Amino acid sequence: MSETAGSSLSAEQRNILGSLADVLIPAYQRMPAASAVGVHESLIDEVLKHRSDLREDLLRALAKAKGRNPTEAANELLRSDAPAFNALSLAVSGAYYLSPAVRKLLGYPGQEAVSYDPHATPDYLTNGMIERVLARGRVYRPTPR
Amino acid sequence: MPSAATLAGMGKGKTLQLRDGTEWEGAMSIDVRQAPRPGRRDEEVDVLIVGAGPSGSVAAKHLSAAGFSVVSLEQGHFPDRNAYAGRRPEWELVSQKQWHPNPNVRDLPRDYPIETSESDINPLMFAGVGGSTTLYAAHWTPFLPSDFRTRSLDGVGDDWPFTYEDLLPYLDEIEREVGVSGMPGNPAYPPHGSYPTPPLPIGKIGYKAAQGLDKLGWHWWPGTNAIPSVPYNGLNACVRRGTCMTGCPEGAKSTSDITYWPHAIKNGARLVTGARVREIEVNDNGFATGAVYIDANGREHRQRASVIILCANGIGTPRLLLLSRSKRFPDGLANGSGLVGKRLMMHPFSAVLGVYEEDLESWRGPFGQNVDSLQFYETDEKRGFVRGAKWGAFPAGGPLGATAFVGSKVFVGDEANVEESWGENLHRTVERRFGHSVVWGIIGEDLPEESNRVVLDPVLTDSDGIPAPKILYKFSENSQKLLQFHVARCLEATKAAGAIETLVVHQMRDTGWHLLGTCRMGDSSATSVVDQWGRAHDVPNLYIFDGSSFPTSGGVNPTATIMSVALRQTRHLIAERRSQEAA
Ligand SMILES: Cc1cc2nc3c(=O)[nH]c(=O)nc-3n(C[C@H](O)[C@H](O)[C@H](O)COP(=O)(O)OP(=O)(O)OC[C@H]3O[C@@H](n4cnc5c(N)ncnc54)[C@H](O)[C@@H]3O)c2cc1C
Ligand code: SF4
Repeated sequence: MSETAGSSLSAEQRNILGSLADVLIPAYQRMPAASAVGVHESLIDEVLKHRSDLREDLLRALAKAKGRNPTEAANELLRSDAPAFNALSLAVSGAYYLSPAVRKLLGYPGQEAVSYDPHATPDYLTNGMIERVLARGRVYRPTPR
Repeated sequence: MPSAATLAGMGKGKTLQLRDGTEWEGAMSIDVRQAPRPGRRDEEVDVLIVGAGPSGSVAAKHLSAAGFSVVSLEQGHFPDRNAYAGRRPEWELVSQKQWHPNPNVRDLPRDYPIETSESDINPLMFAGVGGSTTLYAAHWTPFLPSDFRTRSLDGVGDDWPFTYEDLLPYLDEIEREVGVSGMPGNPAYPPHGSYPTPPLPIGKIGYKAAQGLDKLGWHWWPGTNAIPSVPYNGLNACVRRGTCMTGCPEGAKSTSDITYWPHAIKNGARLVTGARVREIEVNDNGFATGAVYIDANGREHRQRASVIILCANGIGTPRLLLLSRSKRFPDGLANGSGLVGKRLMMHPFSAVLGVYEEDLESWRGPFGQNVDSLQFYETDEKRGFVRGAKWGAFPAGGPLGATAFVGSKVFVGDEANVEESWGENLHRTVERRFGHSVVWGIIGEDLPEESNRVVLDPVLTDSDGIPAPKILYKFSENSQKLLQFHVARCLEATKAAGAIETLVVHQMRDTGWHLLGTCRMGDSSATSVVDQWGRAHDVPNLYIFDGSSFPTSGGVNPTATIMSVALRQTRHLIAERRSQEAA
């Protein structure tokens, strides 16, 4: 398999990635498989744009998996080339959880801003929780001056 | 003591021509920010400060306000809030690399690398204006009274030259500058006034964390954080984005680029960024004369000053002193005691992840402490160890946070084959944990030991070819017992709150966020590096205002105390300017 210049992966590399990705993240109940949301397509490009440091180890993982049963290849990588497996698994899971469809299914809006009233009385002040802490008294050890 | 002119006129009656606004000056390679005022860049200034983190920023603001001419040299750059990834979808992905707290993982030229192969903990830090607080979690936890008296109370460590009560007025002032949010009345501390901003919401995870402690009758308190809940001193109100530990994109987490430097620059202080100090120079009389620094283009410069203050943190400061060897100081500057670099304390740390049935929206911020507990902070000898730890409850982040904490993948079992953690099991793990998790971080007191130390590595260098520090550090038996006890209690609390799954990461490696003790303060020049005012025993115009000077570490996050001590020392320097000697 020849390495592709720049950030883009070859079609063959994408195919191998797609099948390895489905071993790591298969379809399960309501959740789609990695390849079904395009982990090996635009999402992997997005990951490599932000994490170019993963590229070399990922490409090695893909090269080692070429022509092999993806489950066996993934297990072999885990046993014999941890950096390649770690790059592959982080790239795949990172890509999967970037997918808007996956985030929607999980109920994850991303790290959004939320508003709140800083002057509202917190529940712990009225439901007895803080009162119980205060009733137990101080927990620090005073020191002689 | 060598003879020297005193600085009776230092900073006094100086007319600073202040104008509003910030100016970028000069060479492409160095960013210089200051309000324009007379004087050349190579002039001798009253005070040179190395490092623009919290400690250096406190000194810069207050000295410049008192009329001192101040130059601060900082190897990193002024932060750009837009560069922080918190608002972007790739946030979790980049938090494991570009925004990882370990400089060896980030591998950026502005950081210096650290040799850690002989250390049980990796030191964490960040280079830039604001220093390591760029990435800090903003837990605001001043040292407790007993932290200043461990020798008298528990027969370990050393008593500090001053007490909790002595430091309290400075803490009050710092809290007002920082914009701390919190609920007054915490019975883990002596009575203390109110905080400048109301407490942040503790969120569903805070209630869950508190619930277990409440059931067991143990102490907990709504988190006190250096994150204001309302706009304050240039900071915006926190919007609970929860990405505090990769830089706050909202400008809400209190860092000194926002809360201190605008004031210091207005006062006339000059901030030079991209300036890596490689040596403090001394004259034949043993006085410090200035610093040699290298700009981002590799060019060498010299900055002369009457007084030099090191604020480069518990690793950067001893590194610089060890680098500043001379005929007069062959073992490193200010190292007559042989203690420079020794007694490194980094706080052993374990974390307990609790997973709950209920939806806790556990990606929501703040990624400060939502609640904390000091139930087991004080010594109880029956436990088989001395001193204690603080617990702070964190959210767990996004889906990648189901197995990771602060950029490191730690909540995983032994992966003998792929199917154990991946495949359908990954879905099950994320389904169970994502949004449903609370992480308790346990910060244990580290006792000072001379064998835990910072030295210069003979091989490794930074991007300017300057020798990098090497860390020699082993978990002590006390630390191990302490963490085991605390983890066991924490698991009880987690289960009392109804956890359906718990995971523990014991003595986590990437947790050297608190760098203390490597230039300890004390009364005797034989057993300490600086005196109680931060002045080097061996060099009368050299000071250390960062956490290096701490005799002991406490078992809480140290920045509140570092900043309070820096203010105390600064005030003393200002008050004593008439008797301050200089080269
Ligand atoms: C991930 C993380 C989380 C943390 N969380 C908390 C928390 O929740 N609560 C808390 O209290 N504390 C926390 N801390 C610790 C807190 O950040 C430090 O206590 C605080 O920043 C120390 O301030 P300082 O000014 O002494 O040092 P630093 O903030 O480390 O600043 C030192 C500065 O000196 C500069 N410098 C070093 N060497 C040189 C040189 N040779 N030339 C020029 N410049 C140099 C550095 O670039 C740096 O900017 C955390 C730290 C980290 C890394
Ligand atoms: S939680 Fe608050 S402080 Fe933290 S990143 Fe969000 S806005 Fe900033």
